[in-house]
Amino acid sequence: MPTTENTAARNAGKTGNAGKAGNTANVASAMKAPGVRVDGLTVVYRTPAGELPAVRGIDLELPAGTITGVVGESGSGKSTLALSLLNAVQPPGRISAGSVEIDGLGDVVKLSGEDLRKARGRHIGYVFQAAQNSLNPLKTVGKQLLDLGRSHEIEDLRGLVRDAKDLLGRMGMDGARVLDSHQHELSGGMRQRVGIMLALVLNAHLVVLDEPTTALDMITQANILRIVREVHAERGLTTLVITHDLGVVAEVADRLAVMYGGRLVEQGPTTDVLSAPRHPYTQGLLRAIPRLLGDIGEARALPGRPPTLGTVPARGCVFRERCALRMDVCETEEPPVVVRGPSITACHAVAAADAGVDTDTTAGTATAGADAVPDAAHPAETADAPESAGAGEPAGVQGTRGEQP
Amino acid sequence: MTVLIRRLAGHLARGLVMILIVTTVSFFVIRSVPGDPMAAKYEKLVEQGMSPEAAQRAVEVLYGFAPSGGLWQQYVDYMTGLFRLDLGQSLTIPGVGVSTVLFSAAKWTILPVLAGTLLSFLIGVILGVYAAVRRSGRLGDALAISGSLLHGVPQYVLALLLMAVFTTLIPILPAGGTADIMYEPGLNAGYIGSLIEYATLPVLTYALASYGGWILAMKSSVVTVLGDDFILAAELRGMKRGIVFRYIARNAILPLFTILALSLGTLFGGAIFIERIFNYPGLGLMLIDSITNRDYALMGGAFLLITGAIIVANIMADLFYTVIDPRVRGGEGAP
Repeated sequence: MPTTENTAARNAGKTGNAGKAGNTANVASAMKAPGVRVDGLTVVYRTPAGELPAVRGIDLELPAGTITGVVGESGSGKSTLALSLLNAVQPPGRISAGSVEIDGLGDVVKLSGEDLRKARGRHIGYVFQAAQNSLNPLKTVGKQLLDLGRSHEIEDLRGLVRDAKDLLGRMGMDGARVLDSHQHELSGGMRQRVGIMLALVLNAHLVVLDEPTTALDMITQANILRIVREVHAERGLTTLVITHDLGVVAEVADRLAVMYGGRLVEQGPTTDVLSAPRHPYTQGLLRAIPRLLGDIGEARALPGRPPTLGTVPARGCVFRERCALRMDVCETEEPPVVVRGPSITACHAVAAADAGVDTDTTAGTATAGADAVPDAAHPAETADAPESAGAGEPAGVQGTRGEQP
Repeated sequence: MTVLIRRLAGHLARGLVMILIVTTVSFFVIRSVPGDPMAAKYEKLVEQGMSPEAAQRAVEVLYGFAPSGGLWQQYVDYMTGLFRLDLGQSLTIPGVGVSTVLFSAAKWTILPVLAGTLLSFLIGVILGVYAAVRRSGRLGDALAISGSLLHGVPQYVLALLLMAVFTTLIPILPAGGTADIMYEPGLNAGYIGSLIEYATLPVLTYALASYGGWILAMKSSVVTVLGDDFILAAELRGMKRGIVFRYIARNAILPLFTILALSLGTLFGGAIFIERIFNYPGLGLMLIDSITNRDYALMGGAFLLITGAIIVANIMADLFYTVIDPRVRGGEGAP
């Protein structure tokens, strides 16, 4: 796993390569890997029960040139977070508070109309889940590439096609053949590489990958992850990988953020979080992974089920219903943010362990955006109904591999 | 290309078998219908005071061309005639070939129905897209409701309504017929103008009667495509609105082409009510007349025409699909 330092070093070595690919996209080629700061981001969905937050008070920084992984179960809000980076939350959802600052672009939440459209594709590349059909079934990949070029006023379309062929060749495919193919003529792994090509061909330096390996077989998964890692380093990107698979994150990410019930519960360098998880949810996730060696019975699923949009508690810690370290304060107070070195954890128990005694002093500071959510939007506390309909998957995140979120 | 030709050959072979079956079945069904034009004529002549022998002779003179012999012999004669593209002679208009009668009726059906269908298809598809995009708005609702309403109203009610409005309430259009008799038929402006004037109401009725169906079909098709991943993907790649719209429209219109091709096939059956009401001498009226007169040859010819048209329309639809939908092409290295 590349660390931030050697990623940067590799970037420097490959600038010639990146420059060549950027011939056609003059504006973008001047761009470097941008840093991204998500601040107090809250996304609400309109439901018959009022506006309910799917993502609440997220503070997350993507340092320039790094790969950040966001893990969470289905319904934890990770895909909503990914879409927010492009200000593309689909109705009936909307970003109700917070900002997404991207270097060279400003606050994406404030962008709209043509400015927003031009930012998408050119500054921010988005790669869909492999199982989703992200290509127009009636047109060849090449024709859709030209549509993309025309949408972004690329004058040298030949150069664009050349770049696309280079990228596809770089990912081990016959570029000319792929550009001449329709979606139904490509396998899942090939489609995913085409998706990556389309996200990068305009020289975007911020790339969001939403479940890039879901629904792919193990060997193709490994291939895609290797490509993500290599292309990230070669082109000098800032990358966000959304996944429910801790294995994927361990494979590619420099930093790891864990989401639960629309909140970020823990984030830090991947090795730190995976080797010494502090939040009880992260600990539970890691315990749930079956080991390749040893007793399969050692893997223990988290008890209970993850909350849904309607059952997320409006106050206090969202994880308390399934938490072994639950305290009284978890019912009423927002978990405090505990910073230790490069890692951040939002948990009363962790705070208590660190401070030794008093948790009240730091309580309530976890999220700036939480206050922006209107109280009326929250139903009565229903978190003690874990069997409610559509409550998502069991806790073993590894076990959910291949399912549609 | 070879794929296309092989496909076409297969379709033609199947189509011929189908035509053979339909002609055989309709031949026997038509002749098992009670009533006989010659017997009717014979009885009429006897009633008029002719002696049975004289009446028999008169009928034989009148219908000398009519096929004779046993049913099986008639069938063999009919089929051999068919292979020479000879549909036989009409009984009600003695001395005139069935194909002549069919063609003269077909021109009054095909043009107006074709115009009406294409008009309603165009309007329906465009409004359907609008209804889908604005489906949560008031205008979208109104369009969808108008579609359902018009779809539910029978053709003849619409025809009568339009006739009442445009010939009586606001008398600006002729009530029936094909053209004003004061014009000499031919390629002169007056005659053609009159043709269009007389065709307006029938065409309008066809269009109104079918446009509701197009709106509803297009709306649901667009709504389906709007939910497809590749539309969101195109938006997230920053594609221009116009391009995204073309992606939606092309994918949504695909299933409607099948319906269009099939409805173009059925148009050869004519629209009996509309032709009756506007006194338009098309295929529908002709078919009714041939049935009441027990004109076997004409009936058989009409059924053959309708069957052939539907088979051809199906083949066209299928071939058209291979052109516009790459997924149907197949056989070219696709998995």
